[in-house]
Order: sequence, then structure tokens, then C-alpha cells
Amino acid sequence: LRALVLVKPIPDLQNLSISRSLNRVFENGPRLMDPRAAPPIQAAVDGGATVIALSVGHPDDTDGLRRALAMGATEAVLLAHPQGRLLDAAAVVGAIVAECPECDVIFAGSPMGQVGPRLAEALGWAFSRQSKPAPRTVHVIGPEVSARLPSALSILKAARQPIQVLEARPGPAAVQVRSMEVTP
Amino acid sequence: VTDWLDGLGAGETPPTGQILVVGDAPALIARARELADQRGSYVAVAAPNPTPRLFHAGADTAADVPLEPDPIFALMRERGADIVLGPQTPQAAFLLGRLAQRTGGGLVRARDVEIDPDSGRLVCRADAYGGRLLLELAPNPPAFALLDVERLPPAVEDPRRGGAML
Repeated sequence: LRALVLVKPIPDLQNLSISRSLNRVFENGPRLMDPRAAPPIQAAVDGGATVIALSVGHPDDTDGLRRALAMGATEAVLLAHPQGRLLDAAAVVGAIVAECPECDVIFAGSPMGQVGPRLAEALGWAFSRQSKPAPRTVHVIGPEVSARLPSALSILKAARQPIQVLEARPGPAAVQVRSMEVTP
Repeated sequence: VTDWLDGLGAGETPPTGQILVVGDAPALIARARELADQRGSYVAVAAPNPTPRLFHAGADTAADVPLEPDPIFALMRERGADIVLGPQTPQAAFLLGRLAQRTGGGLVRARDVEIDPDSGRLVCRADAYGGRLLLELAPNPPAFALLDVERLPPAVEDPRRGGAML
């Protein structure tokens, strides 16, 4: 069984610069793995699958995939795009569908997220909140599956593992940003 | 299957479609009522075992349908809905996510929503970067939004208000 696990790179909220004059937020470091990706990685690993961790993001957004490898993922794929941090869920799903590695099952985190349901709809697959893998099903796994912390040895080993970087072909955006404002 | 979406693209004729609320949260229905009044349209509610209380909160019609993609999609088409609101729950996120993909619409988990007075389209305010940035977002029609019912003002229910059960 080949399981694709979606690993969303998220900003490091401890490493931001906020410019009120420019009305912008700047990210000063690499993006991290969304902690909500840990339960689905654990579920896929525990299910005995060959686990492919997949991110859509900026070419620098590899830290989350390294974390996924340290947790037991077999392979890591980054669908990279210069604007990868600005893509909305519809565009991300378009990118995944365009370059989806061969897999039997997909695991996603974030029960409130929309990439999992959108992907199930786009692929015509079933949708489940159960952790036991079922073919042609998108499983959204929440914190009810507790993830084990990777060992230091696993982290060191993951740092040397290759990450396959492919050029992302995002789908059309479904949400337009009209304005943004730094909050007081 | 999306014929009724023709003409709802950006810059098209201001939409007059109905607002569909998924679930029976009175505060969400009341918010939809306010939006519908701003654009001169109607509020339809999809909820299993609907009660007259939905009308008291502001619904014009209520349909007894399971909260699953196919029946809600059929109801969207029947009602000509171009705005769909749901509560911020995993079930609604799943449902609206699938429907947004099926229809090509945009979905936002929003802090609040309003109607753009010029276009009649839905505009959402949403947090980014842990609340450090407030975004104003325009989801493509049909527009889907998930709202935190606990943060909405409570519904002022009018027991004299009625509606039609579909």
C-alpha cells in the first residue's frame, strides 16, 4: 500500500517581522511542518504503508518534509513554486492533482482544512476520518492519533535523505485577496 | 452539472441568488438574513429535521436534507444559491470543501462576512499569521464561508416569522 501524506508548511510564528508602515508581515526563516500533519503521518506509518510525504510550497519549504522523513516517511516530494506560500487551497489541490505521485490512499491532517475534502472531490475518492487505510480514500486524521516524537538518530538520518523537488503547476485560485491589514 | 453557475464569474451581473445556510444554528441563520436583506435575496436552510425556529431566526425556506454533498449540491442548484454559509465544524468543513471543489467556488474560514455593496458578492474577513494580519478576501462564486457561531451575535428570534418547508 502506498500512502500519500499531505504535509503543509506553515510559518514560524516566533520568527516574523511585522511592518506597520508597509502593512506587511515578513517571514524570517523557513516554514515548519504543520503539527496537524503529525497524526496522519503516524497513522500511515502505523498502517504499514510505504509513506510518501508531499508538500506544496516555496522551493525552500523542505523542513516539514525532513520532519516527516524523521517520523518514518519513506519518500518526500516537494511541489515547488515561487509563489507557493501564497497559493489558496484550490490552487494547491490543482498542483497535487497535476503531479500526484502514484498512491492507493491519501492521509491529511487538519479536520477543519479544505485540501482533504477538495482532493477527495477532485479525485472522486471516498472520504474518511478513520485511521485504518482504505484504498481510494482520503483520510483526515485529527489529534485522536497521537504522534511519537522522532529520535535524534532519525532526525540526523532524515537530514541526509533526498527530497524530490518537482515544479508545481497550481490550479486556478478560488479566493482573491482584496486587502490586508496588520492588526493592532 | 453547474449550468446555474453561468454568469456568476467576477465582474458579471450582480448576483441575486439565494443564501444557503447549512445546519440549524440560529446565529448563522440570522447573519444570513442580514446579508440577504442587504442584497434583496432569500435565505434557504438545509438541516435534518427542520423546525419552525429556523424561520423565527430568519430563514425563508427550510429543507429536510442530510448534510451530505449530493443532496446539498442539488439544493444549491434548485435554490440558485450563490452563497453558502456553514458553522466551523469538521462536518461542515468537509461538506463545504467538497462542494467548493465541485462548483469551482472559493471557501474561506472567516471571522466575519459581509456583502460588497457594489458587486453584491460575499466578502470575508479572515485572520492570517496567528491573527497578526487581517485579510479581506473575495471567494469566487459560488462563495462558501465557515463562520464561528460562538463569535456571531445571538439571533433575535421572531416567533411570528414564518417560512416554507420544502
